[in-house]
Amino acid sequence: MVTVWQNIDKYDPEKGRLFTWLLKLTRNAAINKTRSKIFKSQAKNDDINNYVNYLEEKSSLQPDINKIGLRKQVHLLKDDFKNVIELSYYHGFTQEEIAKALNIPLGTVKTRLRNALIELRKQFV
Amino acid sequence: MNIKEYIASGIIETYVMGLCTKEEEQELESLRSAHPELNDAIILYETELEKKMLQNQSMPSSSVDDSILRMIDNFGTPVLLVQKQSSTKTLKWMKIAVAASIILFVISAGLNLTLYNKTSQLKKQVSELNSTPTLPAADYEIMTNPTITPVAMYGVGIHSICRCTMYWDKKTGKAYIMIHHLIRSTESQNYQLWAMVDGKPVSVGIINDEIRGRFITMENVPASATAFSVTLEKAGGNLTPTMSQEYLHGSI
Repeated sequence: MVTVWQNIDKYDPEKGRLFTWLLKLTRNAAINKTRSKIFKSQAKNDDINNYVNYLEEKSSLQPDINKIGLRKQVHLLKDDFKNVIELSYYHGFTQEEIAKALNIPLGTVKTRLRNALIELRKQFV
Repeated sequence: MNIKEYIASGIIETYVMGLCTKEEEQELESLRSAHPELNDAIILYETELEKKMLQNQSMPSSSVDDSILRMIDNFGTPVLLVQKQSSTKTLKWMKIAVAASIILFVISAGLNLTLYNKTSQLKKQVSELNSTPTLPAADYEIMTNPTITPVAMYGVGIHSICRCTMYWDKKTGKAYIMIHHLIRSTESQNYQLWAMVDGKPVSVGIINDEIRGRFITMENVPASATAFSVTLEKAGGNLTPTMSQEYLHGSI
């Protein structure tokens, strides 16, 4: 909320709805927070490759808090789609980083991410 | 680029979620202003997403509210300032828009006036052209007939200002006269046309000098005529010309 207060002048109504902007801002703040938390608890820089393992072990033991709302829908997607959304949206990795980590071409990451989001959108209704 | 395919490619979803690359973002934003359907599709997805997200909203406890408000208080009120700026910005744009429309209106009014004047001028010219008498077909034929010889007749003595043209077909003897400039005769007088045949004047008829700018058909002229002259005679004409009243003369 405070971040919103401080950054409201950066909101451009022509670029999107206020909600979308709030969503991006919140997500960025959340990712920053998560990363610093993980950094603190593990006391070292986390490599993205660890996240792949992290995803795998978490998928069965995911706490319920992650299964509400949109994230619940994400987990209903097939693994390929779920992983790209998890890594990019919830963990904030770039498409290049994901390509490297999953050892697939950047183009595939791009297509997979787009298709994953289209698939996700179908579940909105 | 097919914009429909572009919209369906998933780029909008990636963009709204904030997951596309800088290049993709720039491309989409530049396409967005040119394609209203792309803009509509973006807004549609944003709205759907918003609706979906709000279905699962949960209210934070009131203590969260308090702590946020306390923190904001410490920052002062930058938002009010920002809002003011953005509203003056809008106002400025409005002013520019109003000024631009006024300028455009004035230019348009000016152009309308000019065009209106031009149109009425053209209308006047057209009606003038329509009312200008053109030579009747019969007269035009006489004028362009190669066997007809035009004979210019000039004013004599004090009548030097007068002008007529004789058109004479030497083969058929047909003769026509066109008055260009001649003082109108009174009711008691008539102009009479004479042809000099073998040194003697022969009457070729009375000229109806009411007719101006057109051919007046005269009596036939003998082929041996050498000159023409016009004299002013008593009404109905004379048997011999009154040479003191000779107005026009033309040699063949």
